[in-house]
Amino acid sequence: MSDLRLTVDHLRLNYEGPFDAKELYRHITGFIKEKGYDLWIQKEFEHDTHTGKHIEWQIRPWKQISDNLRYLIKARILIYNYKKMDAVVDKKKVKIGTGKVVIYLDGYVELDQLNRWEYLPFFKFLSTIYHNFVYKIYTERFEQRLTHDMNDLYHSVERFFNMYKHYKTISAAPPFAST
Amino acid sequence: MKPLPPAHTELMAPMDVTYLQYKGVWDMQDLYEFVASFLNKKKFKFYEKKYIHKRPGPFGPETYYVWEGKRDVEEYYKFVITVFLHTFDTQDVEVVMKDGSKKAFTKGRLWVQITGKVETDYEKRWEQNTFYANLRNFYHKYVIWKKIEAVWWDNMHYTVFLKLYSLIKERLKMEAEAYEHRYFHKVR
Repeated sequence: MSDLRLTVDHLRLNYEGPFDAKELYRHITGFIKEKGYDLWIQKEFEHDTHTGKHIEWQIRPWKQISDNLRYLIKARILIYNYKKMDAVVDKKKVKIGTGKVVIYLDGYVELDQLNRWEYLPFFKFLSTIYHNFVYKIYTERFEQRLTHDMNDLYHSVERFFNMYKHYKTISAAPPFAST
Repeated sequence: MKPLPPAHTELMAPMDVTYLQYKGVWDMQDLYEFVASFLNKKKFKFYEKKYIHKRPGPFGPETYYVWEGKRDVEEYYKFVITVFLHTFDTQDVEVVMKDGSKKAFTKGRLWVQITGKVETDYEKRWEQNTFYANLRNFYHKYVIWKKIEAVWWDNMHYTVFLKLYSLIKERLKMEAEAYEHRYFHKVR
């Protein structure tokens, strides 16, 4: 099994109010595409109920950094009670969606995805030495870049919902924040 | 810990399963015809592998469909797409269309699993003896693995698999139909 390191653990965003679900999805996938990630759609559930639509999306974008390392993002978007409502925008009547959204973002760094260094205990030992001592500075740098991307995505979604006007992108996860 | 494999014996490059769940009203006949015609257009042979209809259920009948599309791209490799559909708690409803005509739709729950793979040496020509099999394994591991992974697999994944998936979402009129990679996946 490959070495999966959890770098960004459960960034969570809650929002309740007017928004367009299609635009939200397009925004997130657009951001991912701009950053050079490839998209794997894991699940897309949509339930039409009497209180509105209940939607669950789970996407797993990935980005191959080197032969030995890749980034994995797990984005889980839950939408509850999504309904279309009438609103007046620029004196025109338009339909906009409203509901409750919860977004979870996890970021992983996957090392040795092809399990080339897993077959013998000695190989495993060598790869651990390599990642933790020889190549450590690069591995950490890659982890920081992933953290940066994830926080950037988080803030871009916040901006999409018009939640915060001012923000600062975090580039280092807590273990490396002090260095 | 796995033992060191004697040779590279992978004969296919599979992709992960993609799930889709839907509860609402949809046109089952249209969905069936659409998937069949899509695969035919892409030069796949369409097979209905399984059709199980269970009745009675407490909230309605339950139906399983397994559809498979196969395309022999070259003599050495082929694409296989498998669609598993499970409909349950279904009822037939009559819907009045915009032009006033009436159409029978299905109301209930739908569970779809789509997967695909690139299968190499599908005629098993290189399995006649051990020497041939090892030669093939060597060929896969050191000569064409990048091609399988990056050309053949990508070709199926982006131009067939994801396109079919997006078009199914469009058929069901789901909110997730709009996504940025849509044009990249050649969905127009």
